[in-house]
Amino acid sequence: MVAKISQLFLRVSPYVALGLFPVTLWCVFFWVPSDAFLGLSQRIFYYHVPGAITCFVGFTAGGVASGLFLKTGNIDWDHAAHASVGVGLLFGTILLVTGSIWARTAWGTWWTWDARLTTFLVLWLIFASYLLLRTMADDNEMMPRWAAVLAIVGCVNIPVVQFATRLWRTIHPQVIRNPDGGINDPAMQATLGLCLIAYLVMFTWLWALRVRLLRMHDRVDYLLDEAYREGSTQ
Amino acid sequence: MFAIIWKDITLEARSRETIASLLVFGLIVLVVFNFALDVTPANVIDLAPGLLWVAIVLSAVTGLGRTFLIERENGCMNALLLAPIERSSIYLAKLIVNITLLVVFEAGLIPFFILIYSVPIGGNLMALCIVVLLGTLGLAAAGTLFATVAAGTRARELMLPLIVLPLQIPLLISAVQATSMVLAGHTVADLGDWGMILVAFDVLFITMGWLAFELISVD
Amino acid sequence: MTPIQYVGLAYAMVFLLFFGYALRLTRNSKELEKKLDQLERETRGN
Repeated sequence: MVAKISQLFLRVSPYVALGLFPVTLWCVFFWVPSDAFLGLSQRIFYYHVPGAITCFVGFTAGGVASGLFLKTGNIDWDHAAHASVGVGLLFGTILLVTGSIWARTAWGTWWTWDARLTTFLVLWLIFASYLLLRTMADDNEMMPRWAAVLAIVGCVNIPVVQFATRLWRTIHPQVIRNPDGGINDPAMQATLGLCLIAYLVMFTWLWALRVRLLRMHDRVDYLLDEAYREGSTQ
Repeated sequence: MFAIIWKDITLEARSRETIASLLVFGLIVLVVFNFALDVTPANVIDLAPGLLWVAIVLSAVTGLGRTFLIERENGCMNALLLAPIERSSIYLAKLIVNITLLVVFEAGLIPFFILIYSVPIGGNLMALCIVVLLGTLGLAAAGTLFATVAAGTRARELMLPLIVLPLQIPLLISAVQATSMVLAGHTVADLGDWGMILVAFDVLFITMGWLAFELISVD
Repeated sequence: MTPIQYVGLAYAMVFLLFFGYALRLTRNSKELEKKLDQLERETRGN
């Protein structure tokens, strides 16, 4: 099933993404009106928020795929999980980078320990350690299962981290307020929605590419094993 | 299960090397941070909870891998896995051993901590111990689960902190906040949300560890 | 830097990250494909 889905994405997503992104750029830079309070810098928002949503989709999908892998033992699900977390982490990086740039324009500092950024940084670290585990243990046959457990533990932790950091931040005086509530203008909503779709399509494309790469790696390993076996029996 | 606990504890009681290393490491961390953060009588009240927990967390994460490494080296792990006991029992046994180790370690560390930072502990010692215990449960639960994993990677000692520290951050936040409240004189009942997170984290991780340990051990 | 330059920077970073990653994946794929072809030829030859 994973193979079919990824092939579908590979064929469709690149074109959809390449078609959508110029439209989003036009919307963001020419069509949508400026925010009354924040001015021009608020436009970063349109490429920032969809990043968050896509990233969470990636991590959660990774957790689900990990669970399916543990249940069925089918290596396809492991590839799906690996790719999902990997691409999710990329979107997470986009979130951190755009968030940092936005912080710079809005508050004059590249980083702030407010609840949202902090929560996100912690989650990013958890899933970065997932990728590190996969690299550091790739010679161990238990690795896919370990990685799957880590992915699930990571996903379960998402609400915990959210709660804890938000609580942590509310007891300290909020020097900096995070003003992204209340998007009322329909043009803004439309732009945001469009960017979200573009991001999700991009996610599927990158995910499919990654899955294909993982399957090829597996095939290479298999063929190498075969060749070795043939060589040693001759 | 009790056999495992008894074995590990008697092993440790006889050699005492893990406890000793943990203690010394904890003390070193406390001392180093004194210089790193330039702790003065003015800022010690603010920094103290954090200092204590940094020392505990770093020592725990370094020390927890030990029980597993020793077993791997002696081939004892295979014997354990072949034995007709549930894997989750192995987890619980390891967990209890690790908690015991950490508690003994903290029993040595806390007095030293109070002394060198002149922490005005007053009547709050009991409350502090409860908070520390709650935090330790969570640390041990996560660490015990992933210690097997880390021992199987190429990055050995570095891998466990890499995996486990990010996961433990909510616990750390709550523990530090709860500690600072306790040091300021609140009772355990006043801890409210922080206490809730600590307990929730403990329950969550012990449950996950208990469920997942089976998946993690080598067949 | 003016706000619009920051916005530009943010968007540039996003596209860099996206297409850099996609490029890396496609390049690795092509390399692996070549290696796969070579290996398949070898095993078939045996």
